[in-house]
This record gives sequence, C-alpha cells and structure tokens, in this order.
Amino acid sequence: MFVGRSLRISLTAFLAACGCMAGPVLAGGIAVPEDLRPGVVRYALATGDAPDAVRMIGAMNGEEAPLLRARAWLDSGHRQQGLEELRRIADSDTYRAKASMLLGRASLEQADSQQAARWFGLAARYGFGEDKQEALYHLADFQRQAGAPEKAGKILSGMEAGYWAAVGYGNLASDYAQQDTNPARALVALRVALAMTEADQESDRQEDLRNRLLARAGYLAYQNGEYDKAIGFLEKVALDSPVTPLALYFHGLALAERGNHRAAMQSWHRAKKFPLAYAGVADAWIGMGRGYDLAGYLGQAGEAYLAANAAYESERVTLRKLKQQIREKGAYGALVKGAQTSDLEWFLADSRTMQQPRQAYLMDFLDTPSAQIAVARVARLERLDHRLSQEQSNLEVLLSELDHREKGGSADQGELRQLRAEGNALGDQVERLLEKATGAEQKRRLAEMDRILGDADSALTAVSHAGSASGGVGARLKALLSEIAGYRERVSALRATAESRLDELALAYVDDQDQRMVYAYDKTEQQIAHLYEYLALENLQETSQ
Amino acid sequence: MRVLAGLCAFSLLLPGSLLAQESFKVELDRDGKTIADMRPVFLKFESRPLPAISPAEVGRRYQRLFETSDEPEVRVDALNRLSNIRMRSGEDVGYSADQEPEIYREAIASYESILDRGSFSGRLDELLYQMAKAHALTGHTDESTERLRQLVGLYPDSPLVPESRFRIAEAEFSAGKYARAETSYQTLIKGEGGEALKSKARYMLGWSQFKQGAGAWDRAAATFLDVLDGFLPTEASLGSVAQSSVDTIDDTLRILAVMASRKQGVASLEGWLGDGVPRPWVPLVYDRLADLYAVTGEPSASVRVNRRFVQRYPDHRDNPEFLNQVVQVWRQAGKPEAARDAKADYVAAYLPDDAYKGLDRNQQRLWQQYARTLADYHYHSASERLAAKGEAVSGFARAADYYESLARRQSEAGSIWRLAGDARLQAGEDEAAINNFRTAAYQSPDYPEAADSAWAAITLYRKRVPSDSSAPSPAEALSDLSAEIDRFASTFPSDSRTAAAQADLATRWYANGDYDRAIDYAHAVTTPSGAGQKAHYSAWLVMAKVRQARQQYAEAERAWRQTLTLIDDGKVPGTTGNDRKAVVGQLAAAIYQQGQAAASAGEVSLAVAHFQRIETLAPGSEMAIRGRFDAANTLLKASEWQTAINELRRFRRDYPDHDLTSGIGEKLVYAYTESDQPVRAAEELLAMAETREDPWPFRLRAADLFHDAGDLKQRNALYVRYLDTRPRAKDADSHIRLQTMRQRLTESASHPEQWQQAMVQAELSSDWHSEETLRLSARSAMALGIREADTFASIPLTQPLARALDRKQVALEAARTYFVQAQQFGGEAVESEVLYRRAELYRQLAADLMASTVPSDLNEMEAMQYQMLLEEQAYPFEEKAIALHAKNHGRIVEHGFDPWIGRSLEVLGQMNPGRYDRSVRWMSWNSEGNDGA
Repeated sequence: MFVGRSLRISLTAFLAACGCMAGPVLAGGIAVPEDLRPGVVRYALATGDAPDAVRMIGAMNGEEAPLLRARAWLDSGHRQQGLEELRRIADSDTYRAKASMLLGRASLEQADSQQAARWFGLAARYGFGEDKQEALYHLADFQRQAGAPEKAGKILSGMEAGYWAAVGYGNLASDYAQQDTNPARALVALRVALAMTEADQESDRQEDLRNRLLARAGYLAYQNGEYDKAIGFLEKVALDSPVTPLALYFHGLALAERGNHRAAMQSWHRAKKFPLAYAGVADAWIGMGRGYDLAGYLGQAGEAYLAANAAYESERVTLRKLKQQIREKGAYGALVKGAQTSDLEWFLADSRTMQQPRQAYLMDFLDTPSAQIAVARVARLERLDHRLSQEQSNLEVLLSELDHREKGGSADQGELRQLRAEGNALGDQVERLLEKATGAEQKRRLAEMDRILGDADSALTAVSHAGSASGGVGARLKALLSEIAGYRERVSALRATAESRLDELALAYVDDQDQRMVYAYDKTEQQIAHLYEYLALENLQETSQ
Repeated sequence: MRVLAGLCAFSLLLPGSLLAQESFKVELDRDGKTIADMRPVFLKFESRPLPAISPAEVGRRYQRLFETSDEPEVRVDALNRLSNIRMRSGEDVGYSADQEPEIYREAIASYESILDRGSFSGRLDELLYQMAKAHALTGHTDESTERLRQLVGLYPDSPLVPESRFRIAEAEFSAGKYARAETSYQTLIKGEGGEALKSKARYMLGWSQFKQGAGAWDRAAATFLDVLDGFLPTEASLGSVAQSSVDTIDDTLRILAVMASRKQGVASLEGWLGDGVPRPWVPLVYDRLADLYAVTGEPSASVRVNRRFVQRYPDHRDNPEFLNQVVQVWRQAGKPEAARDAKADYVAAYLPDDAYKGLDRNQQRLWQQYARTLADYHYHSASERLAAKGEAVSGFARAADYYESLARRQSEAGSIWRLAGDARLQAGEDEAAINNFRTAAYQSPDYPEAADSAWAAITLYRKRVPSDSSAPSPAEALSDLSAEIDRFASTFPSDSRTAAAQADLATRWYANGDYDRAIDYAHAVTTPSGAGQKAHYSAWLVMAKVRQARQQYAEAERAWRQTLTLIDDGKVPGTTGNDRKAVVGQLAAAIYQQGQAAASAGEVSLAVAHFQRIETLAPGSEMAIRGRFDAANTLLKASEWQTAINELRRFRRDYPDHDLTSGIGEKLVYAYTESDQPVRAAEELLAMAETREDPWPFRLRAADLFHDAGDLKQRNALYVRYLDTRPRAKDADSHIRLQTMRQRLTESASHPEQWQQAMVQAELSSDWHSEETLRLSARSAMALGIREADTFASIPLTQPLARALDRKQVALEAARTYFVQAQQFGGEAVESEVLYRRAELYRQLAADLMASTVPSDLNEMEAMQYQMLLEEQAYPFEEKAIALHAKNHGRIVEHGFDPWIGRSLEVLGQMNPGRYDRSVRWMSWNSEGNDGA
C-alpha cells in the first residue's frame, strides 16, 4: 500500500487550504488600511482568494510586499509574472529563502527536478524553520529518488526533528523496504521517523504521520515474521486514523500468526467497522472468515465469507451509485460537495467522519496528488465563479439600486440588512474558528479577519447611507457586468474542463475501488472455495475410511 | 460523540500540561485512543452444520473463480487448486488436459499484467516462475526459459530457483543439448532445493548422460542408481511409493535394464551395483532386466538374470518372485518342460517350512498351485507309463511327494491327501499310502470322500493279513487293521462297509484266539440294525464259536440259533447244506455242553432236559444219541436209579447196536446194585457173562451180588462151579478170593469138611497168605483137629487094645497134625487153644488108657499088674498133657490170660491139684495192681 507512494501533506490541512467550505467574501472596494494590507493579502492567498490579493498587491509596500505579490501572481494564474517576481526576490537579500522555496515548489510542479533542487538548495541554505526543513526534505528526496539513499540519509541526519525529517525518513524506509529483503534497515529508518514526528508541532499532521509510520513499521515487522514487534508498533496506532483499519488488519494477522486467533478476530472485527474504502477493511472482512476457520468453526467461517461478499457487493452498489452520481453531478458535486452536504463540518472530522463511506472515499481519493490537484482546480474555479457571481450580483444590486435611486427610490434596506446579517454570521464563524485555532499566527490571522468583517459591516452601513450614483456609473457598471459575464463564461468553460478531468480521475478511482471490491470478492470466493475444498477433501477422506 | 468531540476541541485550547492529565479524559464507556486500548467485543463461536460439498462443486467454484476473476493471483491460485483437487479426489473436475494450454494462455495475460503493474502482493520470483510455467504450457519454450533465467539471475536466493534451474535444464534437454543439460542438472543437485526436485533432477541427469551415448553410460548408470537410492532409500519406501514417482522409478529401472542389456547384461548391472550391501530396490533392477530379456525374445538370458539374483542374494525376500519369474519366462517362451523344471525349483526352494513361512499369501498360493501342477503331472505321466514299472513307481513317488507337501499346506486337503495316498500306493509305498489315506480321512474336515479314503487305508491294512479270514493273522497286523476299522466305524458310523469289516475282524480275531476282540466286533455288527445279512451271519458265527470255546454254551446256543435262522431264511448267500449241518452240529454240541455243565452243577433235571432236547433238534444224530446216553448217565450219577435204569434200558432198546449200548450192562448193574437190587444186578451180570469169552469175572461178581442178596444157593452154585474149574491163585487176592469162597462154602455147606480140608490144603500150598486166610485156614484146621480129636476120643480102648490103640493113635496123630496146622496158620491167636487141645489129647489118651478095659483074661493080680502097667503106660501121656497145659499156663506171663489157659488151669487143677487148685484172687490182686501203688 505504501510501496511507491510518498507521504503527502495532511489531508485535513489540504481541505482547509482548499476552502471547501464557503468562505467569506470580502466586499470589493472596501478601503483597507495600509498596515493591514499584507495581512489581507496573506489571508486572501491562504483562503485561495488570489483575485482579492491581486487587487491589493499594487497598493502594497514593505519588505514582504514583493513576496506576497509574487504569490498572488502565482496563485491567480499569472505564473510568469509571479516566477519573475520570485526570482528577483531570490536574488535579493530579503525573503530569498521563501522565494527559493516557492520557486522550488513551482519547479517541482513542472517536474523540473534540477531547477527544483537548485531552488530548494537555496531555500535550505538561506531559509529557516519549517521552510528550511521542507527544502532539505525535498533535497533529500531528490537523492532518494536518484537512488542514493545514503546521501538522502545524510541530508536527513542534518535536519531538525520534525515533520519533514519524519517524512524524509519515512520515504527512506519505503525505499529500504523495497530494496531489502530484510526490513531491519527500513525499521530503523521508521523508528527514526517516529522519533522525528514527536517534534512536529502540528498535532493533526503529527498524529496522521505517526499513525502511518507505525502502520508501516508494523507491516514490515509482520512481513519479517517479527510478530510481537509488529503488534507493538500496530497497537500504538490511533483508533481513528485513516490507516487504522489497515493497522488493525495487520494487527490481526500478527496475532493470528502468534496463534491468538480470537484476539486477531477482535482486531478484524474492529477494522470491519470502517468503510470498505479504507485499505485493510476488505481484508479484515476476509480475516474474520479466516479467523473462524482457524478457530475450527468452519460453518461460521463460511458465513463470515458470505457476509464479507455481501458487504463487498453492497459496497459495489454504493460505488455504482457514486459513479452514477459522478456521471450525473460530476465528481466534484458528488464527492466533494456530497461530503460537505453531510451534516459534518471538516474541522470536526473525527472517527465518525471516517465511518461515512462517501467521506471515506473522498479522503482516500484525495490521498493522491493528482486528485488533490484536480479537486483544487475545480474548487478554485468554483470559488472564482462564485466570486464572479457574487460580484455580478453585487453589481446588479448596485445597478438596480442606482436605477432605483434614479427613479427616486432609496436603498434597499432589507437587502443591506441581509448582507449585514451574513457579515455577522461570518463573524461568528471566525470567532468559532478562533476557539479552535492552535498557532499564534492562525489566531492573529483570524483576528484580522474578524476585523475585516467589521470593516465590511461599516462599508455596508456606508452603502445604506450612500446616495444615488451619477448616470456614468450605471454605464460602467453595465460594462463591468458584461465583463463579469464574460469571465464567468470562461470560468465555466474552464471548470467544465477541470471537472471533466476530475470526473475522469474520480471515475477511474471509483472503478479502481470497484475493482478492489471485485478483487476482495474474488479473494473471498477463493477463501470459500478453499473452505469447500477442505470440506470436500474431508468428505472424501471420511467416505474412503 | 459530539460530547467527546467537544471535549477534544476544548482540550486543544488547554495548556499542554493539562493535556497530559488523564483525569480530564472522559471515557463514556468507549475505548481508548489506540489499538492497544481497544475494548474487545463479544464474538460468538458456535458450530454450524456444514454443507456436503463434492469435489466437482469445488472444481466448479475454482473454475468460475478462474473465469470470472481478473485478479491474476486469484486466477493462478484457482488453477493450482483445480489441479490439486483433481489429483486429490481422483475425479475429473476442472479443465481437461486439452483445455489447459488455452487456460494458461489466458493466464499469461494475468501474469504479464501483474508484472506490468509492478505492484504485486506476492513475490515477483513466484510471478516469473508462474509466467514461465504458463509460457511452457502454451508452448513458448524460449519465453519460458527466458523467464526462468531471469528468475535465477534476479532472485538467486528464491526458493523457486532450484525448480527454475530444473526447468532450464529440461529445456536444454529437450533441445538436445545433453551435455549442457547434464551440467545444469548437476548444478541444481549440488545447490539448494527440495529433495523431490533433486531426485527429479537426478533422474533427468541420468537421462542426459544416457543420451550422450554408450561412453557415458557408466556415469548414467551411477546416476540412475542414485535416483533409485533417492526414491527408495529403505525397504519401507518400496511399499509407499508416491503415485507421482511411479513412472520415474519405472523409467529409471527400464533404462538401467536397457543399458545393461546393451552392454554385458547382468554382469554390467552388477558392475554398476558394486559389492556393497544390497539396496532395497536392487531386486527391481534385476527384475526389469529379466523382463527386458523376456520381452526381447531372450528367455535364457532372462532366466539367467532371475537365477543370478537368487544366487547372489540367497536370502532375499523377493527370491520367490524371481523364481516364479523363471517359470513365467519359460512358459511365455513356449518351453513347458523348462517351465516345469522351474516350477519344481520353486517348489523345492520353499519346501522347508521355514522357507515357506517366509512367503506371502500370494506366493504361498502360487507355491501350492505349482506343487499341485507338478503333482498332477507326475501322477498322470506315471499313469501313462505303467508298463515301465520302475519309471512309473518313481513317478508316482514324486507325485506323492508333491501331493503330500502340498496337502500339508492346505486347509481342505482331503482330496490331495487321498491323491497322495493313491500315488504312494501306486509307488508301492503302502505305509506312506496308509498315512496319507488316513490323513485324508480323519484329519481333513469336510472332505466329502473321507470315508472312501479311510476305506482305502483299511484295504491296505487288509493286505497285511491273510486273505482267508479264518486263518490266523499276524497279531500286529490284525491289531492295526482293527484299530483302523474302529476308527472308521467311529468316524463314519453310518457307512455300510463298517459292518462287513467288523464281521471280518470278528472272524479274524476268532481265528487268532482273541475271543474278547472277536466278540466285541461281532457285537458291533449284530447290535445295530442295518448291517448286511452276510455280516450278521459271520458275526453270529464268530460269536457262537467264541461262546462255545469259552464254554458259554447258552450264549453259544443263542448265537448258533441266530446263525441257523439266517441260513434258514436263505438270506446268506453262499451257504450250503453242509454249512447248515455243521451249524446244527455245533448247536447240538452247545446244547450238549449245557447239559454237561448243568450235570456238573448238579442240576440233574436241567442237564437231562438239555441232553434230551438234542434229539428234537437233530434226531438220530450222534450228539442226540450221546445226549440220551448222557442223560441216563446223569441220572445215574444223581442216584436217580430207577429213572436211570429206565433210561438205560430204553437206550439199549432204541440203540441196541450203538457202541455206547455195550456199556449199558455195567451201568445197569451199577444202578441195580445201588438201588439195592443185587439180584437183578447179578442177573444182569450173568446175562453179560454169557456174551463174554471169560464169563467168570461177571459170574463171580454175580456170586458176590447173590452173596449180598443172601441168595446162598445161587452163590454157592456159582462158587462150586468156579472151584470146579480148579482155579489157581495167581496172586494174593485171588488166593484170598478163593479161600473166601471156600470159607463161605464151609459156612453154608452141610458138610463143610471137604471145603475145610480144601482150604487148609490151599493154604498150605499157597505162596500167599493173608491174615484172613491164615485165620480162616486155622479155624478150618482147628475144626478138623477137633473133629479128629472127637474121633480119637470116641475110639474106645477096647480089646484088642493094640488095634484099638493103633486106631486111637492114628486119630491122635490126625488131630495133633490139624492142631499143629492150626497153630501154624493161626499162630499166637490159637496157641492157647492148640496147647490145651493137644494137652487134652494126651490127657484123654492117658485117661483112656487108664480106663481101658483090662483084658478079661487076667487075674486080679495080673489085672493089678496090668493096671499097674497101664498106669505106667498112661503116666507119660499124663505128664505130657500136664506139660502142655503147664506150658499153656506159662504163657500167661507173656500173653496174659485167655479162656483156653483158664481151661488148662482147670485141667491142671484136676490133674495136679496141689499145685494148681488154689483159690487165687487174681482179680483182687489185679485190683491191687490197678491201685497204682
């Protein structure tokens, strides 16, 4: 399962970054104080609202401004401008590490590992903290990928303890596991990685990575026949991580190997509670049958296999429905939105989240970089469209208000009230986020956001008091509206392409999952056949005696 | 959950120190954070009924799995399992051999897809191997080999390497690159790998060496021997060869045989085998070589190989098979004689019990079959060569040997024992024949012809006794025969031959004088019903004879009567009138003997009845006559005189001329005498005397009888007649008899002097004297003397005195002579009387003299003188008389007193009173003498 796949950044974090929830929309045209501008831009960038950032980069000064500008260019699709800006920064003395980092990432996206290595090298040399570690990680990973694990190890050994070092060691362990028949080296690397995670300050990320590392270590130990060691690793895996079912499955295997079939079945039974989307769950279903078989309850074994097959069959129905939904609503709608529409909120993700099949598939689906990219793309376009439609409706409101004013009407107080209510709701959301925020930085940003909302409210108040516009304004508004409409068309077209791309991926994924079920089904059928074969041979033996 | 989630969310905001505090965790009966904290749930374990699944169903499942699954691993597993279940169940499940290549062609795609996918949960070396297999199955040898080489190169430590090497070597072998194949196989054998594969490799190594030509055959042979060592390391392994190895082993043996046959045959083989301890499979190699020769039309060589094995390993367990193989080879080669010899070898080899016990059941059966075949063969061929006596005998003897050894080893061997017996008989070995017949008869349970076999033994025993059953037999032989027949009788009680045999035995034992046994057998025949009449006849005959001999006449009579009845009923063939006559005679004898016995026992009437009833059985027969006679005799003996007399007289009347009749007279005399009819007896004697030449003995007996009857007249007449014949005494008795007659005549005659004188004369002239005759003669002499004395006394001395005196003197002399004779005869007893009478003679004379008349012419003086003269004359006589009386008196001293002495004393008293006339109280004196003082 881990073979050939590198660890990726925490999914939760990614979801947050994508802004899968409807983010608050900053009303345009609100004057942002000078000192707040970098923050607003950072927020916009952090929330994927690059257009907002772009709008403000022109009026931004300060040391950080070029970097933010570059990021805004990059995020808003002005790639070349962004890169040029970054290169300039990289040549400068300030933020050259950040810039190199971003350049490295960009090169990585372009699969230009040479350039990437260069930029990461710079980032490592001039950077500090998380960035430096990330850069070093990438450098190590390049060595690793180039088939020089020793060099990679050397780089990793020079890194600070933390998430990136842990990931590096984890990947190294994967390589060792692949190359060596004896998992000793891999296990050592994994133990180091585990030690490294302890230093990670981001608890979710740390927890996630730790679970993965433990599961992998457990698997390697199990494969090497070191069952007690395997059990030791696996028992440390949290009960609510995405790798839990897999860990439980291996845990059961190791226990079974120790002859403790009933305990093994406990683990598999637990694993069974997870949606089949997760690795190890389907195997655990088979494991239950196997457990009954080994415990000598062949009848129950057969029933367990049949139950497993029923589960696979029903999962396939689910997958077919999902596929149908993907075809009907698109993958984004069916998967991402579908997951959202369940009454859970991403930040409350817990073990129960994991028990939702669709959520599970989404999480699993998004465990792949291409899916992440594809979803992010659609999400961004959606956000853009949403933004545009909001702008459009704002303009339309403004235009109709202007018309109304022209016709002697007053501002629609009701609508304004509604907008202010929305603003207040957003404010509440931010406050709630504040309660959950961990890092000081996050808190600071949220506080700023809160302040901006306050500004927006002021702006709305201002609008409600504004008088009717001049006739020229109406024409400009109309031009803008048509321009927005043009953009929206483009966005829509792009989104269609992106979604179809995502659909393809999702369908392929669902097909894969279906195939996995088919495989599990086949495996179970195979087990049933083995069981029947045993019974038949027993019968033969009995009749021959 | 929301509560927990809320708590978690809350905890995020708490300082780190608080996070560590366990007390803040709210469990709410849920499990902890990690897998280790997982709370177990209750899993139910219970037995459920299991479906009855057929291998076919399993096969269908695997087939469906293979067809429906896209998962190469599942498919491959399904394929493997399919072939497994087919092998294990022996049922034709799954794909046919024709389908398989197609199936594997399909499978290849699966393998390639796994390889392409690059991620394979299984091992890649396995995948490569499976691919190679699939390629091989679909005929892509090169691709297959290529994959295998890849495997060997990439995964040198893979457990699949040995088999891959094997496949590679196989490919080389197939391509005819034998030397390379040899190297490859050797590499495999020297390297890691399972023994099963190595043994296959060794086998193929052998082949690749073999294929390189005869020059490499020694090498090949060594390899093949290794192969055999591998497959069949122990004796036990011979019995548990896996089905899969059978062909390999078989082929190995075949090629070894081929190589040996193309070289120097068994010599080459043994060269390869060397001299060590024989390995368990060695027999197989020999066997295979022998087979090869047999099949290629070289039976002699084949036989040589078989024999060579037996010779080389004389104690080997498989020797029976080799010896048998010799038989088979000769038979298939159409050489029955050689095959027969081989069978004989086989039989001979396991003739000893120890050897035979070493054979297994089939081999034992075969041995028996061969022994039977040989036995039958020798028997039949001997039967056909009866003319050549020596050959036939030895042939039968051999047949018998086989039959016997065969019979000993068969449970229901009755018929075989009988055959053996028959063969022995034909071979003239009667003793052995008997033993065999007996074994068939008595030690072969359920043998239906046991009785006949037993009879055969009896027949042989019979040969040892004379054919004539009435002739005495050698005791031992007869005992044997009897024992045999006893056994026969007790074993086959209902057999009809028993009775005849027992009857025969009875006769023989009788002839031998063993009556007990004779009787026993006779009883055995007569007791039960159903025996033949002839047997009955013989038995009764024996019984009768024995009883007779034992003087058990009543039983004898009964037996004889049975015999007679059988003859009279005409049920006994071959009996003649003479037989009947003899039987009747014996019957009569038996009755007669009963009569005798009864007579001896004093049962007169019974005896008489027996004697007399003979006549009714056989009137006029000698026995009847004798019976009559003896009846009379019996009566005589019983002193039933009158009845006896009647019988005797009747007999004399009925059989006047019979010899026995001559004795009737005497018997009658006896009977008359005894029944106190002496006269009749005397008459009978007189009658008898008439018929005799010398009638006098009878007449004298008659005279005696007359004497007894008091018929003195008739008696005396007879005495007189007899004495008239002047019989001379020839001995003392006859002298006594004659003197007695004279005495009796003296006593009864009126003038006995004649008889007294005759008696005295006879006594004087006889050489014999008995006390009685002397006494009687003394009395006669005394009587005569007294008569003469009387005469003397009566003669008066008258004048002429001289004359008178002469006369007197003559008389005195006559008397004195008689008295002297009397004393001569009577001796002491009559001496007193004689002395007295003689004295009295003298005293008489003296007195007579004194009293004699004086002649008248004398004067007184003269007369006185005369008187005086007379006295003087008479005195000497008186003196003489006194002397004789005194002498008589003097005898008292020596002889005691008697009357005649008394008389003398009286006379003495008169004559000399002074001296003798004294009153002497003798008695008082005597009484005093009796006082005992």
